[in-house]
Amino acid sequence: MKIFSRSNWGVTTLGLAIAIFLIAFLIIPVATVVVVAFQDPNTGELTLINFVDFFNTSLFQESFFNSFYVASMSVVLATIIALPLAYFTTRFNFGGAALIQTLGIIPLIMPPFVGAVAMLLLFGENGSVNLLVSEWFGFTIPFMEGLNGVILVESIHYFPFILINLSAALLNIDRSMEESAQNLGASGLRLFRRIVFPLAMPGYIAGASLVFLKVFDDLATPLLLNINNMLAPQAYLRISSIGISDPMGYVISVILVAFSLFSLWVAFLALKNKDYSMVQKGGGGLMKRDLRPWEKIGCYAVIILILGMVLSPHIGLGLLSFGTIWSYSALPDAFTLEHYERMFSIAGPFISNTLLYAGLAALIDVILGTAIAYIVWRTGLAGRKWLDFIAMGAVAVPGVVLGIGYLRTFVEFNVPIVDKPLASWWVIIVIALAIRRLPYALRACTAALQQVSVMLEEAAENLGATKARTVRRVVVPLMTGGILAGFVTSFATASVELSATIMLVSSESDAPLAYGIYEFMQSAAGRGPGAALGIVAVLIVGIATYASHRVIEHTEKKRSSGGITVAEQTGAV
Amino acid sequence: MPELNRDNGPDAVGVVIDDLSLSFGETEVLKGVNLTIEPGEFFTFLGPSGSGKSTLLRAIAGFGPTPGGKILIGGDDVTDLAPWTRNVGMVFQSYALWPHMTVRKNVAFGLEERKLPTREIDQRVDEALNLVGLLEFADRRPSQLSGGQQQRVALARTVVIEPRVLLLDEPLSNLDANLRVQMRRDILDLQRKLKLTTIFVTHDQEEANTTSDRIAVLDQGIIQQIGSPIELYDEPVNRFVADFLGTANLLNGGVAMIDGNTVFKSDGGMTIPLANAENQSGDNRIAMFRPQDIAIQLPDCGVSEGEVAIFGKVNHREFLGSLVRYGVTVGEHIIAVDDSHSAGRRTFETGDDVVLNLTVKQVKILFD
Repeated sequence: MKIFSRSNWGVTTLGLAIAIFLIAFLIIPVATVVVVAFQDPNTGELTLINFVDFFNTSLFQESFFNSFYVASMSVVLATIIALPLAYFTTRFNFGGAALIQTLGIIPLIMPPFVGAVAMLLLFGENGSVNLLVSEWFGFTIPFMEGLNGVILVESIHYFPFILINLSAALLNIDRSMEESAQNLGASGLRLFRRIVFPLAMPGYIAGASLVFLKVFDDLATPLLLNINNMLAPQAYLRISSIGISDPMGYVISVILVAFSLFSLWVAFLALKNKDYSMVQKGGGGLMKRDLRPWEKIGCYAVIILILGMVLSPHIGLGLLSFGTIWSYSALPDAFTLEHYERMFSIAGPFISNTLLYAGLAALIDVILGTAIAYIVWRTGLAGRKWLDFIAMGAVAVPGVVLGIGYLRTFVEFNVPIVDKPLASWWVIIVIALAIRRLPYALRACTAALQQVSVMLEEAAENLGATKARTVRRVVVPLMTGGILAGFVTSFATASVELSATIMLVSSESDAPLAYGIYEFMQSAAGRGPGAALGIVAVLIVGIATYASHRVIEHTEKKRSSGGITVAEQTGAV
Repeated sequence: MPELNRDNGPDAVGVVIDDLSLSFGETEVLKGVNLTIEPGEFFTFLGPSGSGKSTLLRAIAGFGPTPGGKILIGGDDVTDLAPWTRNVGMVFQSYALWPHMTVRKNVAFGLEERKLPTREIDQRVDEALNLVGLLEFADRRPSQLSGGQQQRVALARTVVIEPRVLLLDEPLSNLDANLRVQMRRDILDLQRKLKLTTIFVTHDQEEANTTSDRIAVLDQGIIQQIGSPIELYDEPVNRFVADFLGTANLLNGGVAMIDGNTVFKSDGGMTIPLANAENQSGDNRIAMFRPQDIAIQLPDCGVSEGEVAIFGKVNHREFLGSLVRYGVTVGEHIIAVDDSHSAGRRTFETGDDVVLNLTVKQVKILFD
């Protein structure tokens, strides 16, 4: 790419500004956390003493084991849920495929912690299901007992990651792969073991390591289920009860980051050099066969069972939000709108704060995302790959770690006009959300940019448009769909984020919706209004997701309408 | 058909490429290219993929790495100018129409960037669309047009800015065969009408031969030969050009004097007397002759003045409609021979003994 002094100057400035933002709000806070973890709290010397203390404390040993156990078991349970669904859609001609796709989206529009309390009421020791089970069979099932509850709630929420990745991998296997193996004499299990399994494996590993990372780092779900002996809750509790000088919170943070990096590395290894672009035009997908009637019944039974599980947090939340008293009974005693009235009388600021924070964060994300994508893929700026790398690296930083880092780094940084520390100004919440969601937006923007052929830009330059004009008139308009998708993903996930914000909210009036739900759910009386607020959160995320789907569909349609139907017109020039 | 108003436009300009070289990282793509393209000329860069022809064209438009050497357009050095300041119109291989704009918006783009008054833009867009016969499609989107129509929109979008030079990067390669022939005539008509200096890039010798005033044959980043289509075909300077343009018999060997006559002796055991072979003696020579320079006959036929008879055996044949192309084994060579065909004409079978009558003065000696 040719570099012209004039445009180069602009790109350099932009790249530098982004780099400064990322260094200030991602690298320095995280580096601070790491340094403090290795410092003697009294002398400030570099030492491993904090780690020795950590591993000598039985509570931390237990927490470490629990976090690892919960994350691993969640991967197992999520796999058990996802595997049959992926298999049904890719191997059979099956009417339920649309249902399965819906199954893959429903959990994602509700963060796990929102439904956690409702799940207790449905599946807990004295919950609806166990009341019925003990009435009929005389025993109870410990669905939500201790760590089991976290595992169940997390895997119901995160199994779509495995479903999506595994289905994509299976759909990517070209029919000819299978046919040529059959042609050469392989069939049945051997065919599966030697061809299908190895080809699908990278997709599965990528999905599974993502689930591991998410569960390992999650703070809000264990907190809501009142499980404190895990790593992320311990980090939060140490910092919030003992204070930001306690080294244990930092040690835990380093361990969380290390494990996150490790799972990302596993995913990277799984996908590295495994770009099996196999689908040829016209072909695609494994051989599908029709189901026999009894098989169809079996499939639907499995799907309905999973659908029931997936919808249970939503159903439970709905019941909780409309129910009067719900305790030791299968269903609430009566229904009322009282919780919504109470919720709306107090929760107005929560909702408006959330819309403001998530909106601003998503806006920052798509601006940064578009700029970084353009710099990386369209300019020769030195160090441009680092921008991408650092921005994507935010995936490996758990919210609780970022929160601790901000507290420590910005507590003494006074913001001039508002005259308070940056760490307790509401803007820091917006920045935390923006940094946390930047990888999603960046990925969406990068994908959108890669769809724009470089030739379309060269054609504009050839006709007299400068680089900046080309970006404005050609690149950005063509990226609209992707930018919008990035905005909505960032917005929707930021609006229900709790782990970083819970550390950064300094006063009730600055708190977003997720924090409000957490506060409500702390008391038995607050559960009803808390559930009502949870329903509002689900609606916000759901509507945003639906709207983005519609907009993206609309732009795609406009792009390609009538392309096939117009007949070839071979007139003279 | 209406014409673009060229009265106020600039006269056709020439292009000079002076010792241009260019690398992608370690890979040298152009190695010292020198060229002069005359004003108003239809000039073609012809070569196989990887020869550097597209890179050279893109360098003229200002795309790709900064080259060494100079590019002059109408006498102005444009080597260091940004693409958007060069005013050379380029038609891309895949047309590069912007899918989010209508046909009219696409064509108006360059004029809008030049900040012309709206009324003039409208008028010139109409003229350009009319010129390519697509005025009635002005409000469609590119995706609603056929490939040939998209091609013409791309052409209109480029000529509407009255570029100093028109660059065409394999513009016909995405069209089907019939449309391609039609389009290349249309492009040539347009070029003559607008008197635009035009540079055309193609790997297709038929396209090059039918359209070009002159052709530069490129291989491995070096210009092998420049000339009119007929010159290149009749007088190739090396093995590459001879082989790339049409079919040629190319025999390795040496030229020597035997009994006072100059003779070509091939490494594969063929001897051909040469008619005019001054200063060509030596090893490492190539004898080149075309399949149509040979007549294939029954073994007992006589030889005419200026011909040499070579005995061989038919190895294979390909029926091509208007002619039959034989492969005839002579020594270690297989010589390609064309025999024109019409109904009832005698053909040979594989294994037949034949005599090849080669017109001696058609044999060219090339230096290896």
